[in-house]
Amino acid sequence: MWQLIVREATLLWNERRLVCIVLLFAASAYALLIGNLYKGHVVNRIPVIVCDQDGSAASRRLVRAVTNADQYKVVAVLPEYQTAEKLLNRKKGEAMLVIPQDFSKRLGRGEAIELAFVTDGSNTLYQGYSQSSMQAVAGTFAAEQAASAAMKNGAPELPPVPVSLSIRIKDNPTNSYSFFYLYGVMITAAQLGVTAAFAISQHYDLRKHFFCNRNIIRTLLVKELFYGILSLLSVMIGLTIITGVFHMPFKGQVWQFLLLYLCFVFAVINFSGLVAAYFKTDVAMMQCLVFYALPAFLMSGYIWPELGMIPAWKVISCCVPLHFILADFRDLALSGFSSTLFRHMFILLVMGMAEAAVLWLWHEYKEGESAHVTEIVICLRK
Amino acid sequence: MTMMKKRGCGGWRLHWRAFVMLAFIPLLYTIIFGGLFSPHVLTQVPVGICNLDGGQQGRVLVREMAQVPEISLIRETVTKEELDKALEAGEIYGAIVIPPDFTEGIKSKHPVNVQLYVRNANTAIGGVILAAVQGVIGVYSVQVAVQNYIGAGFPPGQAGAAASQINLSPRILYNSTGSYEDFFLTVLMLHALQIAMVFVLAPMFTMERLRGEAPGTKSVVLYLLRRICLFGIFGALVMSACIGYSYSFFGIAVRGNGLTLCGAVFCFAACMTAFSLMVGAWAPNPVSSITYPLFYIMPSVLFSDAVWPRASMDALSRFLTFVMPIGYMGNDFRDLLVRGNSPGLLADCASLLILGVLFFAFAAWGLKRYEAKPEGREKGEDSHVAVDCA
Repeated sequence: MWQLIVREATLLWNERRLVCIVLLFAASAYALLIGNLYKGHVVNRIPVIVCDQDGSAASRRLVRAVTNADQYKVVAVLPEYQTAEKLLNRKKGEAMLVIPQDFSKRLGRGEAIELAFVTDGSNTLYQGYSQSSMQAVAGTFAAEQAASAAMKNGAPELPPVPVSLSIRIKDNPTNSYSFFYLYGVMITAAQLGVTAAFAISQHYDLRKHFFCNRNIIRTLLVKELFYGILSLLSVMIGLTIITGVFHMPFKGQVWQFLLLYLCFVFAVINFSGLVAAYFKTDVAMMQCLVFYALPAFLMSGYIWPELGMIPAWKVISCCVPLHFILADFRDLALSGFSSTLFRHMFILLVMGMAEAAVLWLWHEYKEGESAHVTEIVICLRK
Repeated sequence: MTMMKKRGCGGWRLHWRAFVMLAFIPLLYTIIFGGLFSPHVLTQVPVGICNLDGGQQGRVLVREMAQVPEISLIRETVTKEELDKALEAGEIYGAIVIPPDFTEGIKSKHPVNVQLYVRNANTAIGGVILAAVQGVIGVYSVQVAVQNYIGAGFPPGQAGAAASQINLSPRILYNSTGSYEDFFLTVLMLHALQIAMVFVLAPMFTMERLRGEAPGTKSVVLYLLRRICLFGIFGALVMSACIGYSYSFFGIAVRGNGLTLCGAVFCFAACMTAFSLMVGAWAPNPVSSITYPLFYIMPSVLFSDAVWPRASMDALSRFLTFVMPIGYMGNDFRDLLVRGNSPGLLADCASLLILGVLFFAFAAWGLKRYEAKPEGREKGEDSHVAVDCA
């Protein structure tokens, strides 16, 4: 066992150093890159154009409220609608608030006022953040106006909002994009590293008939253990980066995550072994693994949930090992527990064992085949 | 890859398998991702409700909630603890609690408070629940306020204004339904093209170089130019097929001019071909030509400015968006499809061409460097040195 590990380590370091770097540092590199990208957690400084057709003191108060909101960067305050619309069409702003001409008059008379908020919906992320923030700004402004009007006029004491909603958002209360995204990206990068490293090793060994006259199960297990532990190490470095550098939470038990990840690695390593067995060239094998990575991530239900998938896509999603780890990892990190953790561990183990069985049968078949070929060659020589 | 058919010569050589993969991968990705987002919106998100109020108003609110298609009230309980358990078990993603004095509070014109608990680990699900419940409560609250004002002697017209004086009426241009296809599939199609180009062309060029099929020093520029033209045009054709497919089957918006779209995609495809040539020219072996770009290609879509805006990035990330080709095309491509025009298109195409020229120069340098060392096999090229197991 020890000799086998030394051999793998020597090969990995001397002959496949780049693959070794990917195996050990892909998760950390992605964590650093994407963590830094989403460091701000939410979209802010959204460029907004304000079309103030009223130009009164009341409308200026509203403009000031918009300017003071962290989410916005007011790029222009214009009185004419056409000019403001032109700016929006030229993408100088992502949204436009239109304050109508009779704003202050209607406000004074206590009449209903419609504020138009025109947004560019092509980037729904921008659009969502800008609209929800503007609703909050307008709501606060309206409540302040209602309170001051009631005080001035001595209106009957009625609650301005008779039914209110108190919201308690668990797990990701700030709608942080890095909380939503980063955990999954890191695991996907680690998957890419471990599958590439193991598949290249398997492909090489198969070509060199390394498994001939060896205990296949034992050899496979030792190799899987070696690459699994290296991958675990890479994920732990990544996890340290996202919790230590980007201060993202990890509320769950580390042992639960480690167990889940080991089950996952067992499944994906055997999957990459099958890929290595199937492809004749290492280039085609690597291409297959690379082309698999993105659809696997998106189909896992991590971003677009299983709830929103059509049945056929749900089935495909359940065949992807990432499906059984990503959401659980995020749940463990953000809420401290995952209700499906042990069920998913079991599924990953079963998946891995089924793949390992196929791999073992394939090796047995190939060994028999090569023995048969050797016999034929001996017969022909005779 | 090993079964390359050689037709033509000096840069016009066609590798049928590379062409098949170049066409197949973006189309396959388009089908997969288009199918993934195809219902457009999330509906029937499981939510629980605990009606602690025995009165009529509580029942009315439950009925209102049940009519919203975005959420599905799969669990009705009489204690909050049961709802908490269901929330923790992952059975439901949101829990609504109607307080015991709900009907009484409304009758006596006292403010009442409905509680909502949301599991927001997946913000897509949390956002749907929030928007749906906030919408119902908002409308319901205005109705109650109007009744209160009418009861206090306001005329019905003024009661409405008093209950909700300032309203924000949102108008969403271009992608009014918030469709994920228009927002994300368009960018993913472009990403699929760059993935296919880099991971198919780069190892192919490396193999050509190692087999000595790359030209001599004098014709390097011509060879590279021909390659860029060939694969640039092919990339634009593949992208047109993807757009056609998405338009027909997933209903994405195609408002832009076809010629402009083709021109923009050609610029991008040509730049990515030049990038692949550069990787192919410098990578010591075909496997390395796949491994090196892994660090760039996979996360590049997130740095494209088409998902996470540049304005919210720090200086380093913003710099990265300017050195990645997709950073120039992600937004333009979607704008051309969804808006029909893109104000920054010309400048971005020019930037892409400049970036392409830079990659081209590095590719030529790499090839010439190789030509200068005909013995060729640099350290690491022979990746399969046997190490015997003792």
